[in-house]
Amino acid sequence: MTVTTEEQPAKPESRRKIKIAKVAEFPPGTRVEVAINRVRIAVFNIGGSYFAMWGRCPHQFAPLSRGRLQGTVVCNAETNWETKWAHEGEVVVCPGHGMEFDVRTGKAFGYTTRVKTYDVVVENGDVVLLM
Amino acid sequence: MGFPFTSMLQIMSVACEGVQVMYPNLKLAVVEAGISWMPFIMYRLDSAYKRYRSELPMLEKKPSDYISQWYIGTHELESLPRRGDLAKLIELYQGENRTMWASDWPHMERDLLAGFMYYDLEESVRRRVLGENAVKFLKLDVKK
Repeated sequence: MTVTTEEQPAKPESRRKIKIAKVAEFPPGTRVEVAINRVRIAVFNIGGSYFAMWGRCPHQFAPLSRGRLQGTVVCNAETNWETKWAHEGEVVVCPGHGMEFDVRTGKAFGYTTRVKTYDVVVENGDVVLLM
Repeated sequence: MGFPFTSMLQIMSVACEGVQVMYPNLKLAVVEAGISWMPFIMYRLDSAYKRYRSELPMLEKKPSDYISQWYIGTHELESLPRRGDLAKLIELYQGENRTMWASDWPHMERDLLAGFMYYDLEESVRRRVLGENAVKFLKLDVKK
């Protein structure tokens, strides 16, 4: 018996859309903090691309969304085990205890944990968060 | 008394400098320093690691995730007062599969088996600590 896999029909867009800001008012290197009910989400513009992540640190729930943006130190096989500064402007540092998260992926540097990330799209000149 | 302090420094150095990241198959053991300080060094490092991770950029996980891979010999086993204490301690540093009972033979101040048997442990954990973990660590060929 041959088993065939049929393509699933595309699901209708059921995610909630939340307008964050006008593109013109949200330049690269800045962020917008959004409170949706009691959920805090940080939306970042990094070099013209938008990234959204959960705004609380998984460690002790400090306001990660207000952490400063910087780079970080990396040292791995890719850098030939040399210590290098990298990811400038793409790392948010928790103001509580200094945990660092990659804004693009939500992954914590030096940990196996990550924070939830959300999709962001631009529609009709608006930056829109999809939840 | 001083052995645990130097052992902690050595574990800290080896684990935090990323030796296990570069050599993931390397097996490490710390012996002759007792075991009760293991939770302290693991979780104190985790706490400090949050702020100082950039000084240890080679690590991909938090320090306790590396230290919990170390094997540890029980000698010189601390005088834990209650029968249930050893089980709690081993659980605290996640050592069921890494702890190896050690006598320090042939030194005269060695630990005796009766001192270990005083403590209540699940039978499977006792078997691991008394032999199975060492068999794994030393890759011994056990004849049934």
